[in-house]
Amino acid sequence: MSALFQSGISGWLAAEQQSEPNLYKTQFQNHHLGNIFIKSLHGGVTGAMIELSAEATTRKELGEHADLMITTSSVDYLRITKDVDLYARTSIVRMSRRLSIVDVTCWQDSEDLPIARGVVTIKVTPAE
Amino acid sequence: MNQAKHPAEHLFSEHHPLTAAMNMKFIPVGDNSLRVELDAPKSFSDVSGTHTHTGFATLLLDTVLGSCAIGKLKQMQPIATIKLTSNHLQKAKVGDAIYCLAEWKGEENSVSYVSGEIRRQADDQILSTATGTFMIGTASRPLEEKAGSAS
Repeated sequence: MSALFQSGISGWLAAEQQSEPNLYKTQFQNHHLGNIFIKSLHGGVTGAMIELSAEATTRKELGEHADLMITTSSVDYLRITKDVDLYARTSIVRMSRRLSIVDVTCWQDSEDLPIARGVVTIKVTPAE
Repeated sequence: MNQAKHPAEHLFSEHHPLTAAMNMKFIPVGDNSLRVELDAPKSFSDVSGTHTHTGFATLLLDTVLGSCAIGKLKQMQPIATIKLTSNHLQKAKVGDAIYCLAEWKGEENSVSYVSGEIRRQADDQILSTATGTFMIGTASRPLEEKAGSAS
């Protein structure tokens, strides 16, 4: 298992990599709720999952020990969420010597009904 | 004398599951700003184990910027993040005292505009910055009605 998915934040998010490439899942936990009355996911949980997924995809390309720093993330929230699992699919837009730019789309019920999309910019220093 | 609670504290009370993980202290600053203090939690560490993941900063910024927007509501009602853009300059070291300061910029057409930043308390070094937009009100009933009908 990737070290990233053994990290503290990965545990808090209950995040895991799926067998399908570039597909990740957050298993719903009660502490992921933002509005406890309408039982919607906290927007920051989705944002954190988008950043984690983008990092995981970049690490897969560059190696586990690449030195990465997420510099920017921009997340659009598209639909209301509910208290179920969250999926994220990533796509590398551009990987240069110094940057990785990754698109991430998140959904709950159906990939055809995305709840958020984001783009993450990562400063990369490949492992020696 | 007890200082009045910030409206967002009613949402992020000790009963809110996120509060248990982040142990946030809400400090209203003037009419338009909100400061939240906490220690960078180990539970959000990155692969190094010594620093928090940037996802933690994003989670904190969404929480505090949204809370700042809640503080400006004329009637308590749900809000939802429309867009959040975060810049991460540095990661917080686990255990370091940090604070997030959010400033409400205005509201137009039921959209609230807020910006903010996370800084290390020891030297005021900026760790992350963000701008966020929040939709005021949703198709859902007002929070007070839901709270009143909850058993």
